[in-house]
Amino acid sequence: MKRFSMSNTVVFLQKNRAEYYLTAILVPVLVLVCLCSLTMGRYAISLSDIFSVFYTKIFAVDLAIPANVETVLFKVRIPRIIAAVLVGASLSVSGASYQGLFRNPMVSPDILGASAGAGFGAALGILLSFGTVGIQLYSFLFGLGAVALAVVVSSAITRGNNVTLVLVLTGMVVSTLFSSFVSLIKYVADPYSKLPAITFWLMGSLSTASMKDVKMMLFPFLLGVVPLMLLRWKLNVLSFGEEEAKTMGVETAKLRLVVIICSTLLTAGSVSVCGIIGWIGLVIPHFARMLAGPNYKILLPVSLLFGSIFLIIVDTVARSAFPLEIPLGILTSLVGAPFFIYLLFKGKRGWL
Amino acid sequence: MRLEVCDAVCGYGTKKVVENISFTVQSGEILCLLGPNGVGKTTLFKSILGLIKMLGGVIKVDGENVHAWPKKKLAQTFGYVPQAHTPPFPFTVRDVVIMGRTAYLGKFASPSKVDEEIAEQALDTLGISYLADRVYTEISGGERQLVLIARALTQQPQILIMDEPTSNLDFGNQARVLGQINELAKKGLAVIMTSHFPNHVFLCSTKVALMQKNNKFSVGSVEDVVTEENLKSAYGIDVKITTAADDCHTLRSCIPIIN
Amino acid sequence: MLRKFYLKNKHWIASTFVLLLVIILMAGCGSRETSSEPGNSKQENNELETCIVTDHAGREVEIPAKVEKVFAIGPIGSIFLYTLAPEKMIGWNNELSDSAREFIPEEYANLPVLGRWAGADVTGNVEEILKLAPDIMINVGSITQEWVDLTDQIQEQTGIPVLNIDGSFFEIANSYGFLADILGVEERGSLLAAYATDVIKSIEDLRERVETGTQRTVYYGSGEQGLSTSSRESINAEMLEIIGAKNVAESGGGNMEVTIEQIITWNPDVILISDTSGAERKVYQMITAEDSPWENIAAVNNNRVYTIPNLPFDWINRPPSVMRLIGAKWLAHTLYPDLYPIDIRDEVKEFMKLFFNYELKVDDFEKIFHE
Repeated sequence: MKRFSMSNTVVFLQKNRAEYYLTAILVPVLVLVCLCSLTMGRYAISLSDIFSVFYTKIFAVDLAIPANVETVLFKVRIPRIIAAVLVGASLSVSGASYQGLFRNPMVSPDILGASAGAGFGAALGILLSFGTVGIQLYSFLFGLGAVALAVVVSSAITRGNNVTLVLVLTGMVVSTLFSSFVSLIKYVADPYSKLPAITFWLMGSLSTASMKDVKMMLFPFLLGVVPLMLLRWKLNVLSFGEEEAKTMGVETAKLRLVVIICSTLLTAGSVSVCGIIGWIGLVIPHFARMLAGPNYKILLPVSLLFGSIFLIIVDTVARSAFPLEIPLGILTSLVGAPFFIYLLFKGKRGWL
Repeated sequence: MRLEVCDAVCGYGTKKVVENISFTVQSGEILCLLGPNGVGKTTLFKSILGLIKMLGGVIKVDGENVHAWPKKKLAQTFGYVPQAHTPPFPFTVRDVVIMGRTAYLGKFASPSKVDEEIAEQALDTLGISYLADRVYTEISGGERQLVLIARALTQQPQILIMDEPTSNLDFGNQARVLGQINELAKKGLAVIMTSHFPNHVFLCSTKVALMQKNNKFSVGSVEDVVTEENLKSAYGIDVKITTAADDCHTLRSCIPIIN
Repeated sequence: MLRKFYLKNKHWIASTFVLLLVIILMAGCGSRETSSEPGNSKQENNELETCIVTDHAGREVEIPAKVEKVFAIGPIGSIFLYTLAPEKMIGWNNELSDSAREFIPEEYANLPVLGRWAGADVTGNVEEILKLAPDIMINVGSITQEWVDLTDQIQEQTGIPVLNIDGSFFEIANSYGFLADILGVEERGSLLAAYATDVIKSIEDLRERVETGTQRTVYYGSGEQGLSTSSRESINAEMLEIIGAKNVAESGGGNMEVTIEQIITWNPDVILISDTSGAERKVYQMITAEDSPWENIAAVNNNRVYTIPNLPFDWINRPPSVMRLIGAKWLAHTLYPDLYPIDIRDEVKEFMKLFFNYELKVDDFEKIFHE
């Protein structure tokens, strides 16, 4: 009997078409978590009420359920759960892809400045008293813009071999730049209305997720996730080494650009809907890699599913535990940071 | 298959590192690139692989200019074996080897059963099938080098380009890797390898190219190029070349003379 | 020989040297201080007259006998000061909104913006304030140890005396009296104090009558989404308790975010909105929109969603200032029109004339009440 160890598990999974097993388990888990989350919240709704409401909807029968039950289920909880699925998936897929692209498991989706830029766009929108749509649009556009800036500047600086390093450095600079702008905006914002709004927005929250938001998010989500899923095997090759990848026929510059564009769409799309939520893009891919191995064929779908599941759980706590709404960013940090340290303790030699 | 390097000028940007390099390699030949540090060996073969833009000259395979080829075709012709390094993620050996098949995969494809079989074969050819399920980052340097050669083999190339395949290997592994290279050449591959060790040339090359400072370049058969004067001129040390014989082998070796 | 002496006693020589240096420096400072006084006393002899007052935090502060220039370190104080003695103001804390400016004459509206001290949130530019040389500074607000420490520190840093004045609703009359004395505007002070006393009495009256009847449950929301609220224990929402209404948010502090689900669960009778979008009333529109998640809450169903007037400054909170005097009347009348029957328009007119010296025009009502 082989001793149980991470490498053995990984090998077993990889040998036996793990992607099917893991996905086969994780998808129903995701559905289950969604359903559980549906039953939880500050407004007490019994299971029978939930069934009744759905029964009413499907069979067009009137069962005299209090109007608020329907409101809470369809206008508050369901959009929020779907949004959590999309955002959790976006951030973890984006983080996993970047970790491969930059050949570094310590990379998060914010590395090129997407979050900082999107945060700035939102703060600006709030300062200028835009409506929700305006704020989200600004957030999204500035998120894309920040990364574009980092990419353009780095391509002007880079000389041949150090593309990745220069990208990371310009990303850091762009991030810091936009973070400072956000501080500036906070400084001049009206302390009674704008400043609290900006602060709360930056801490991340799904409290305002509506079906409209979910529909809007679907576009960048699909545009980002689909190409990454299609290209995930190539990501393996790229993550091994740049030069080697080139000699094996991978168009590394193109692939890099596609990964950056897709990840940015995913990250900026998430931030524009729900603010800055950290740690998911960093910790979930790590955790997924421990379970599923570094092969992106399995890793990417697994990261996606874990990300969704994690965020649904966290968001359910954020909105149900107290009458107060706990900002998501705080919760993910509180959970993510210790978990990350734990993962580091348990880490494999390969990536430490 | 015939690889011709004609009047190659290689360098970075406007800086020329080597000029007027010409040599040919045929299927079944092993060309060893010798030379001291910094003379431009790496620059030269990175240019051959298309990783750096050539500043002048042409590289032809069977008469065609390879740099006009699409990247895929290049990958299917040239197999690159870099020095073994530690990658950031713990892939299994099988996964690493199968990466070589990228050269034959479509844009969004991932390896199929056929690709998996080719990878198995490559592992088998090198006698390292027992490593297939091990984690790449947990095996020894020598084993890793063999895995990288297997990976290059899955590209089903016509030419193998190896960057110092025996550095960081212990004495035994060095011999084993050189032995494998010989076998591969016998199977019809052309091999270009760089080396720091003139002794290895005696063990497995058919041709040698000696690169020296001041752009001095000599290419020819082992006996012609690896001479005591040439080695002294290239490395700046005195060398003695001796021959040893046993029942079935005549072995040559070069020994540096220190003080 | 001298060299030997030096080498032997290096340490003593160095210490003596340093000591001498220190003595000289201190003497120099001292002499500078004494030399400046005669200069001052020659020119402004009577200005040097000071008196000691005890502020509402129990601090004994020395202030000039004649106070001509005052700066309030926070918006509650600025509004307080403006209503009492606008001629003595040297500046505001924030930019006045355009709509607020309509109610304030230009000479006062254009006073410089000097920032504020509000706990950790400091935007006061100390040098600018010193340049304008106020005689005293005032802090109107809650009397807590935190503020005592802060005002001590400001006084230390700027050299200008700072007075803490109680800003809670029930102390408004006393506070007007206190500051009016110091500023020498006793007559005006007693007028405003009398008004305040009247309001407080009528509200206390109302509260007693409400106790026996039905209390209205109220949700007080602010922020872009209306999801920011203040709970019962906070100064921000104390007006609700004062009026005799029940704040649905029991605890959580002055600025907490809640979920829409929570608000639905509370099902308030009345929703009060603090909306800074002005005439657009974005938050009101959002809450009362056709398909919004708020639609089945009692308050929305019964059309009892009200936007808190905020001209020239917010009537209930943000900041919780003397505007609460008219705010209390408005709130009482809105929540309990039968128990508190007043003509709100007449009341507003009277308030604005008395406190802001402003004649209300007909179209001003539209601006204030969005009608």
